[in-house]
Amino acid sequence: MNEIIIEPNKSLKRFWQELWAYRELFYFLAWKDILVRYKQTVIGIAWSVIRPLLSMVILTVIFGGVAKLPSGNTPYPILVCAAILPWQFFSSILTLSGNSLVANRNMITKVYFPRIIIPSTSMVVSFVDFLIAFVILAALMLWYGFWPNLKILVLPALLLLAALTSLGAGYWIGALNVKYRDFQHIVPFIVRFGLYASPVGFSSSLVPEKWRLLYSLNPMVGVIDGFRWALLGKEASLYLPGFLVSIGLAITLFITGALFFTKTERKFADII
Amino acid sequence: MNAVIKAENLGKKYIIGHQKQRGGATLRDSMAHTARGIWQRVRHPLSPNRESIDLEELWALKDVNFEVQEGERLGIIGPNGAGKSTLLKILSRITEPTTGKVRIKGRVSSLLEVGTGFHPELTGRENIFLNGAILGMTRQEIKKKFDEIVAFAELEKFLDTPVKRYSSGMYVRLAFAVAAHLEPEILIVDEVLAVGDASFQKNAWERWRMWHRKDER
Repeated sequence: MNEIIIEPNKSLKRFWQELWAYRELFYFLAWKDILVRYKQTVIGIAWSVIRPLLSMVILTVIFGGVAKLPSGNTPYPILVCAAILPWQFFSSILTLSGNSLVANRNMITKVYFPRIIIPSTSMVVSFVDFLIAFVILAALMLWYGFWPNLKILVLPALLLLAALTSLGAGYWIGALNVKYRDFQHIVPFIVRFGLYASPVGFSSSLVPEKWRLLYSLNPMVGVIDGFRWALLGKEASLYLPGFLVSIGLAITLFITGALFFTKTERKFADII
Repeated sequence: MNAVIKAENLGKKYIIGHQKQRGGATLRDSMAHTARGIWQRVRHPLSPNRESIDLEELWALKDVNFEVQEGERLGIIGPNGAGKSTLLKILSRITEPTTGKVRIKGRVSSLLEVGTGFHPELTGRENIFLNGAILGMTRQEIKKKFDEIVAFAELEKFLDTPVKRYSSGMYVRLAFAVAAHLEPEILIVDEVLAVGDASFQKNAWERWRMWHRKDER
């Protein structure tokens, strides 16, 4: 018979055992997120295509049409679309996970399970959205006759990098939001500001060489540059030092986020 | 003897003040409080508890010791605010004790509320799966008991209706039916049986007795 010992401070080994034991709950909560997302909408899943499509059109018009920023030989819509996909993946995870704990407060105060499951499930629904939105990019590339090469196989790794970044930030914000509701006002700001601060509407080669390393302190710069590098063939180059900085930051953000979360989660039910 | 639950020196301290101003405990308040605390410390370096300015300690539980043997049933009674729910929350691991520890042997399910995690937009069918998983059932178990749960709730006709369209009685029946089909070795229950209309309460009590009989086998 398995024995549980309840006392102040839980060991790390127990944490992993429990996470494994509750893997089905992870599945069910992710499934719920997907089911609920487009309930009582008329066009349902088409929203997953329309949202990124509209953002792409707007950014292409503003940066490519009005500001006339250069995009090399790459058609501007493709340049933007290759960045919007990872950006929306990031912002969707961040928004969902940052609010997830407070949104599920009744579950936290009434049932036990490893709390880290709640923000983590946001990854699944965001990934589904990503896959659906990928259709736009595929259609654009077909339209412009733009064929990706084998570098496209790196995409899953880049997506993982985006997931680590956003989940890391989501753990921090989600846990802090339990105590300080200020953070639910900060997230929309990060998402809106970040869209322009990250190279979504323009190519990061526009950033002067001496500033690029500093610019890469935003981990999404590495992700977006990576996406363009993987998708746009020889048209896009990767600024390696900056990319490595982004990877380092993403991993740091994820690990510190997860540690902070698991350290504070014992108090969630008391203060939420 | 075989003690399945053993609590030693259990204590739970709440800091009220933070708890009272729920939603109002903003970063600014906290920073202001910290700043005031630092100022206090600078002025009176030897004063023992600067925290007591606007925070108050409350021991909801103190030195609780008990044992529950296998097959035994334990009821806890007391006035409001006695700490019953706090104790149950510790036993179901929702919150951690401040002092002491509990040893629990066996699979635990706790019912502090029925219908936890129900999502109003989902149908009855979907909520059975979701709620079952939240209460700790595996997918196989839920599938196996699905028909029983539906029959117990008497909701065959409304399985594919979103639960937001249910009457509150139907909602509670469905929620209780899922909970009633748990098969834990240890069941922790807070006042959840007081739901539904008279005939449903009768069913619930019968179910409750069945649980007991199973123990005695």
